[in-house]
Amino acid sequence: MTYRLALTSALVVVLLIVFPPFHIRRIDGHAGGVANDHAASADVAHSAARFWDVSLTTQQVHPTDWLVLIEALQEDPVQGSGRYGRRPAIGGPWFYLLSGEARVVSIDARGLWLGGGAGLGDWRVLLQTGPIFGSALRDATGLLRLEDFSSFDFNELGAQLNRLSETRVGAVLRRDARVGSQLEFVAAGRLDSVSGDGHTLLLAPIRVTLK
Amino acid sequence: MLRPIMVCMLVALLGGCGGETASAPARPTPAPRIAIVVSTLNNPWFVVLANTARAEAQRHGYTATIFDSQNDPAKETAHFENIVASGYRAVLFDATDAKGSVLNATHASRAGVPVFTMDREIDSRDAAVSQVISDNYAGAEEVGEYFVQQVGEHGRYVELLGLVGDNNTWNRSRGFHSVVDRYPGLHMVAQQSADFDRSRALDIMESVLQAHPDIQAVFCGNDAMALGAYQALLGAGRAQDVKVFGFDGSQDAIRAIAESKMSATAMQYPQVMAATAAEFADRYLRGDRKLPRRVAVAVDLVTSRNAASLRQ
Repeated sequence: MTYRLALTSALVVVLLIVFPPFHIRRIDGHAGGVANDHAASADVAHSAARFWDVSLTTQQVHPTDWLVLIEALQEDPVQGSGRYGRRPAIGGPWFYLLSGEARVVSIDARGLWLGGGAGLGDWRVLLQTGPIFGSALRDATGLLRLEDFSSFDFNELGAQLNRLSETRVGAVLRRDARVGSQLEFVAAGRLDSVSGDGHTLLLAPIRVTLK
Repeated sequence: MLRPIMVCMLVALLGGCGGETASAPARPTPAPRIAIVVSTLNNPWFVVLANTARAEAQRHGYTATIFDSQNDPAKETAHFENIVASGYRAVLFDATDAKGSVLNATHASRAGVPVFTMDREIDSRDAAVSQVISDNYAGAEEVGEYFVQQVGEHGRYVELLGLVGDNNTWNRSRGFHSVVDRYPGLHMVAQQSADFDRSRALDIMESVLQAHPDIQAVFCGNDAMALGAYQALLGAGRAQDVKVFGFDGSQDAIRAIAESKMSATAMQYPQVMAATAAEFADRYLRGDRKLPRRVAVAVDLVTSRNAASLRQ
């Protein structure tokens, strides 16, 4: 009887070890927030740096002269955008890859406001050096497509490219540019949808040479 | 001499050679069927998505049936088993869970029923033929930029999230934070999920206000939660000084913005998503194999500047 009880107990212990009724797990998640396991993959930063070095800052991209674009948008915004821009999202904003020469007419926390002569009309053009938002750098070339990524990775790719622009180009401009400086630039642009005035162009710098 | 006989035999084989062959009266071929599986019909936004998908499928010549998963993955699975067994030609799919719903889509695809997602993304590159999604991140980024303009670079705020298993929840949250987190003076004092539900948002906001009475703003992952949060603020006498930001572009929210009860929302286009998914399904069933695996539909910022013009 005792032998049978001991055997049964031993069997129960073995079963509990092999098939534990519960697991003790560490609870992770940032303080005060909801744990998010929907994260972008770790190699997005690498992909962004590679795209910046191999595609954006080399001669593989063919920008439009910024004054040509503005003139076209002044004449007919729809035709001008269709001719010189890219619109990856259905019904979404247009993105433009631009280059040109300009003079810095004022500087604020967001960046350098550019002057380009009478051709600008009432357009305002900001070469951003502060925080850069949006996906112009990702989307203006048409070389990167959503269908090749998860949405998390694609969004993170845009954010990483913005950071590269801020750190590699914006930081130098913040340090060296002055009102009256002449510069040459290549940049990715979009209309400022938050201001909503329809003629403020925001440029995320890719290459800038101060003269 | 033999040629007319041979021709007649060939024609007979193909369907008849003149004469008065008795044939059964022609029965109309039933229209092929498309299933529309939506996460819930307990939210007007998804009703628009489902009804548009059905109307567009019908416009392309299909019979369409709507299945309501009631935000329950088990019900969704049962719908898919039914759909596969019942001979539907394709599924237009709004998932309950980005990860959990992959199995259902895979099951249908392997059974020869192609799946086309709309609005909610699933975490798979090949379970669905094509995924039509809102550009939630970009929309939330714009809300974030406007948030900083309105609240300023210093302040304390609350975030109410949607369903934590939904990619839209996190793309909105991450888009918003991609902007707001760049301003170290803006502090998020609480972040909680209210499951996209108005009454849950009301309850949670009431609790949050007791713990954090000094907030200046609340960002919500959809308009239903934003309106629930506004109701809590109204009850606490804080509706005038706490700014409320939502997402979706519902008519209730647009009206609230026009009446200065809310600050902003991001307008999604469920009709465009549903119509695109239906068009892709039709093209696929007609043999087009060059459809994009993922395509985004734009989201537009709605503020006091344009709310009046968007009211219906």
